[in-house]
Amino acid sequence: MALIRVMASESDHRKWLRENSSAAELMKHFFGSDGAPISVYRVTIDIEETKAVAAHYLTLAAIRQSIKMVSVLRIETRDYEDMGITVHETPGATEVAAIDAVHRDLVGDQVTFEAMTQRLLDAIRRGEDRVRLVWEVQLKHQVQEFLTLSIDEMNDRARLACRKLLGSSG
Amino acid sequence: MASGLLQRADSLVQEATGEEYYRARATTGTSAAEGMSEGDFAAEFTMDPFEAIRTLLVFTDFGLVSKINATTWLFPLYGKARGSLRHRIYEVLLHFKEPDTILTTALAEYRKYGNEERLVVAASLAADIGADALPALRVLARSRRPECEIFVSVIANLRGIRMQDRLEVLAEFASNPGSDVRYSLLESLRALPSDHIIPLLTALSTDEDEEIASEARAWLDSLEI
Repeated sequence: MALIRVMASESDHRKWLRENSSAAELMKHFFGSDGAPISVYRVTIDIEETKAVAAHYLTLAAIRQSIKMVSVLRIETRDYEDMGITVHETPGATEVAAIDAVHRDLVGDQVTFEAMTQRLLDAIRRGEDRVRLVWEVQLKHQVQEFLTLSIDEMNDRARLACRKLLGSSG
Repeated sequence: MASGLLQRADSLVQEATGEEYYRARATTGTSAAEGMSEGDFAAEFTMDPFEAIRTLLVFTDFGLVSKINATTWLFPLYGKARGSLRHRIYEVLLHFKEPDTILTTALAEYRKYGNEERLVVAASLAADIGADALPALRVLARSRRPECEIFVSVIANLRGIRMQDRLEVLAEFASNPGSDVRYSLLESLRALPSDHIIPLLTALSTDEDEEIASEARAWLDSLEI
């Protein structure tokens, strides 16, 4: 299991892979410096990860308009467990019930989040697979699968977002 | 109004932080005589957020609170909201339809505290507002700020604007100092018809970032011009 943080911009994965990226800058951009809870999903690193990313993508539908590659940051327990950062179950906002059920908040402060970011940066530079790119074809497949869910499993707003994304993605 | 957008964002950054920001100006007097203050709203939101939002809507409908003030008070609360409250805040911000205020508040909050989610929700609202958000987005594009990154795809896809306006705003991003902005521009051009994007691709084909330049050159080659 890992916590995943979906990154919003097309170029966000590049920020983690630059030689001159600093933990302080990355922490501020991705997690913020005000100690606000960080929205993540607790998933297994397999299809469940892809489903969570696709469900989160529905919340980005307005800015992305169509299905495009999106990048994800994988946070493992060892990145934060001895730092005082805690994980809390909170409701997600994707409106895909199974994914909202695995939504979590990471709660810490500026110092602990910067330390966690430094560990993530070190792990990436060592070669660990912490930044995943989820491609159009994979997102499209999952969005199509969502449309087979019942109304109890996904509400109409999310269903509309699925149809809009698929309609503009061919 | 859009011309003062960035100055307004800068001045907001200088203001008080966090709880202080929402409570400092609350007085019983303003609540009774002028409708609702920031502090009144913040206090009610803490106790019952849905009821506070309902009250805010009533006050804006009666002109007792301006939509600009209501947007400034409500936008920062989106980030900590979860579940259905998050959707409710989004719907109400969309109802207020104040793109300048959304952008200035988001930029001020992001510069102060970071977290790209602040920019994401502003970009999403601008996209849902559509053509009426173009003046504010144009000012942002001209600012050459790195925060433009998240708004590039919004402009590339914005509903209800002329292609000429879209291309003029997108052209601002080709000279943005941030390579992530220019990379986002390259990716966003995929949404546009190929006969319109050649000037922008040509500009990006000589980009100082070799990844951007080589992708743009390969794309131009594929268009066989």
